[in-house]
Amino acid sequence: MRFKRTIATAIFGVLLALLYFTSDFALIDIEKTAIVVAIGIDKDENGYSVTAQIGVPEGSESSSKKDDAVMTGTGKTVLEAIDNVGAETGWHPKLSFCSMIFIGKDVATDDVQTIIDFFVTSERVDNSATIAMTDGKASELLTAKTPLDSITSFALQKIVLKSEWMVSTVGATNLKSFAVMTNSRSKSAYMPVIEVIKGKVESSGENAQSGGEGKSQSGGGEKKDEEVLFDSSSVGLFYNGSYVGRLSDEETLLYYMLIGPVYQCFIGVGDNNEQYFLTIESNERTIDVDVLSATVYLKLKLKVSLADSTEGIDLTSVVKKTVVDRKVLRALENKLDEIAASLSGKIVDTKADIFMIKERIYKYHNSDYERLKDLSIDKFTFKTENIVVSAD
Amino acid sequence: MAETMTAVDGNEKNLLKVRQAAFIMLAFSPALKLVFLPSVMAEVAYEQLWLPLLTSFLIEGILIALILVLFEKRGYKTFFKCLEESFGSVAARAIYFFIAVFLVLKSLLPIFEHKLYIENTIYEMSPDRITFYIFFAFSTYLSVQGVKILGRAADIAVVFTLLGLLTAFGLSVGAADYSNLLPIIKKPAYNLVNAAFRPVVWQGDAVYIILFSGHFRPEKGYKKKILSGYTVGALATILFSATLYGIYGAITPSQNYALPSMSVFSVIVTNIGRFDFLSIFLLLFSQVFAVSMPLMLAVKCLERAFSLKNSIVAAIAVNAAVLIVTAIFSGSVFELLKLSTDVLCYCYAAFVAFSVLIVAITKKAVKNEI
Repeated sequence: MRFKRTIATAIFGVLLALLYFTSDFALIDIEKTAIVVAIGIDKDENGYSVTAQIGVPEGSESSSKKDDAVMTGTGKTVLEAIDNVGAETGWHPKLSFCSMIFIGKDVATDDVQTIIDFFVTSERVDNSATIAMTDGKASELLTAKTPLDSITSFALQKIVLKSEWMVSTVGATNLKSFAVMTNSRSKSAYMPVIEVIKGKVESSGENAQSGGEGKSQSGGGEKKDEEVLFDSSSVGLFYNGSYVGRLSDEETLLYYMLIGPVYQCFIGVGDNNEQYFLTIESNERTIDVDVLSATVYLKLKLKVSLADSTEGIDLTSVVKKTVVDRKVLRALENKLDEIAASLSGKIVDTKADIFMIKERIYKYHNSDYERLKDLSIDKFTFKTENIVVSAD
Repeated sequence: MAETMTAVDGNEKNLLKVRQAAFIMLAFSPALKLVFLPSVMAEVAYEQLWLPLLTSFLIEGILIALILVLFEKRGYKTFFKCLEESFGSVAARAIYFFIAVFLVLKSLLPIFEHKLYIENTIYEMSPDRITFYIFFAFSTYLSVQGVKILGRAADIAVVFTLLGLLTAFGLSVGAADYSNLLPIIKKPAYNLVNAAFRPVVWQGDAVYIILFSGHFRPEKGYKKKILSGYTVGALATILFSATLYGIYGAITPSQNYALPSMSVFSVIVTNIGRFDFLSIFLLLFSQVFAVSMPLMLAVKCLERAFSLKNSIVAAIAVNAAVLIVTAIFSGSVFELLKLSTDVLCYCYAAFVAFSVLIVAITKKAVKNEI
């Protein structure tokens, strides 16, 4: 009896394990399945057009073939367009590996929040998928050729999806963070803007170039007209779910310095005669809100070192310190003051509360929230106090 | 004390150990409560979701402590024997029948949750119906076994639950912004009392303790052990709910499946793939037993209520009935969720309170029985 019971238990255990936990051993018909690694969403005359880029294993196809591994579907809604990708091509688009979503400018200007909210609740794409908007059509971005990688989205990932331990001059926004920001009391969000740069780098073969002053670029390549670079050094601002404006490269850099720690970040200062290239070692930042006068105080303490000079370094000493002239530090402070003023002006103009001021008031000055919740962000005064740059 | 406590009524071969009773509280409780509950609480209490959760768990914890004290005074008899001695056999059978009905009703939402959880998190495309209905075969099998099997399952499941929770927490804590839980102190914009009733749909551990009474041999510090198991399970549920809100803020109500939603932002998951499925599978193992437990106990109650010699008929009847309900209403899960959290939670709470009251008014054991 005991033996029979053990056998019965084992059989049920195996049945449960097989049917329950295996996900059919993830056996999907690979011949009919397209592993989508990125999608681009644009507006068209029917509603939406979704361009899906498929991951093709290395070595299985020629490089040129892989460039063409994109499928397009159209529909009145994004979901319909995604479903039509499968219906029109016969391939089942598997989105669970989709790690990037590109939003075309026309969609961003119209209403991007509905689309993001759809993805966040649909379970089709992980909420950690990175999103970025394009300066033009998202489909053009995904079909553009770059020598850095045969799959365009992988090249784009390199500039947009940067971890904290890499260069943090590009603010990666994912589905979740965008949805959290737009659904917050500030109703505002940001995402990087990807710009296609044609014919800028004239290198050959597989070489790629990247970098620049605070810029994040990838690509370059052969002297073919269609090969392009990408730039994502600025962010687009969103208010009430729609694109309302864009920060310049310098404003974007200051914005990143004010909202979080930046690593391996560089900034240039000087004039035509003298140029200094400085590494930002640390950035202490504070965003204070005076609820009585509806004033926002932006405070920033930067610690910098010379990035492109070994002049003045004592190689016989353990401590390698560079000496930065005080006038350079003051010049940088003035420059940051100017950028902060223009950043504040842009916030007032667009009403995009990207410093999450309303949310801060709710969290830290809750008793004043009711009084200030309907006060538009352009009625707040932004003051940049205490921008201090030191080299110690 | 230990020698005199051997007067456990019921089947001597089918006893839980105190450790196992504590593990049942610890292992099965978070596995059951970390699916819809955090998002439901976020919808009604926003950043203060932890407060009604804490209130609800505190009240149930007090009830469990009370039940343990009451049964101590009743000589560690089974609830059925207490009822029989106090109100007669018919009343005892009637009360057991109502408990069975309560347990079956209460099992419905967790079963639906479990079904959706499996289908949405593990499967790429909707699986065949048979995939989930095998659960009822397992549940029927479990129902004909004694409570001892629950104890053995809890011994294993506690490791699975703790490992699963630790892995999930490790993967998700980095993405949580706990400032989303601010302000901690504010005038609630919701009705705390109403919000505190919502978790009752997933609770009912007090009724389990009533039914376990007489099925475990009390030992030194047994009340502390059982209450500790309950407390750890409750704190884990509150901590994970708070972490989910820390990650998702205002959009937390949209995240129906708490654990898979939380851990996807980890660098480990980004770099090596869905490593978080390890924690999901571990907790699913515990969840299978947690979801089956009310059905199993309902069968045991029916067995007593109708003096069935063999529980196989009751097991098949209960599980077949729930399977049919699951099949018919599988498209109405969120309607059931709304009904449960808006209306049924008050009925469940009243039933739990009524059960404790019944225990309280049963006859105390005479001195030599203890």
